[in-house]
Amino acid sequence: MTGVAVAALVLAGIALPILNSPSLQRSAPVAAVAPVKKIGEELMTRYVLPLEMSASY
Amino acid sequence: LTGALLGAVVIAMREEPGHQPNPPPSTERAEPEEAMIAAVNTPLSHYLVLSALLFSIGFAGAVARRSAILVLIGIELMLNAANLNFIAFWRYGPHAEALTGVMFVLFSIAIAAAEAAVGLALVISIYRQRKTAQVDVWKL
Repeated sequence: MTGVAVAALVLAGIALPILNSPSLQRSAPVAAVAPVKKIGEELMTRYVLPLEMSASY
Repeated sequence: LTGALLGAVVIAMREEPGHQPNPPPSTERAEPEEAMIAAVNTPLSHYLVLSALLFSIGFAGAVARRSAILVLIGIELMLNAANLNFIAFWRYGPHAEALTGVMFVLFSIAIAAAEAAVGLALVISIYRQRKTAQVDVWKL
């Protein structure tokens, strides 16, 4: 019962400001396309490779 | 568990006798553009409210439960709520082509997996010594 009360309090504290905020009612832009191939290439070239390089020194 | 069982029984009783549980797959392909338009029309606040729901459940599990395993599960739920927020703000942000949100979430998932492994190892180790997984009994 305590857990349910805590969950309800936290949910009300977070969700009410979200629902009352007019700037969060917008729709997403159509342009974003993230295919798996692009994600994998970006991950391995721009993000993981610099970490590996910096870790090797 | 009882509610889920009752719900399954009610749904099974509502099905018509001649109804096929697994209809054959349609030869027509689903329209991906319609699904994309429906996803685009969903406002950002819906994702944030779902994330808040996940976070509140996880927070309640982490704070109010005494079993260490349930506390770990609650922490994982809160992490997943944060990941959902990252993806939602990335998708609805001005630079969605940069994939920064996806990258951050991928790193976050990797770190969460490591954290879960370390946490479970600690819980198992303490359980072997103290013979209990209740965190209020542990005196570290």
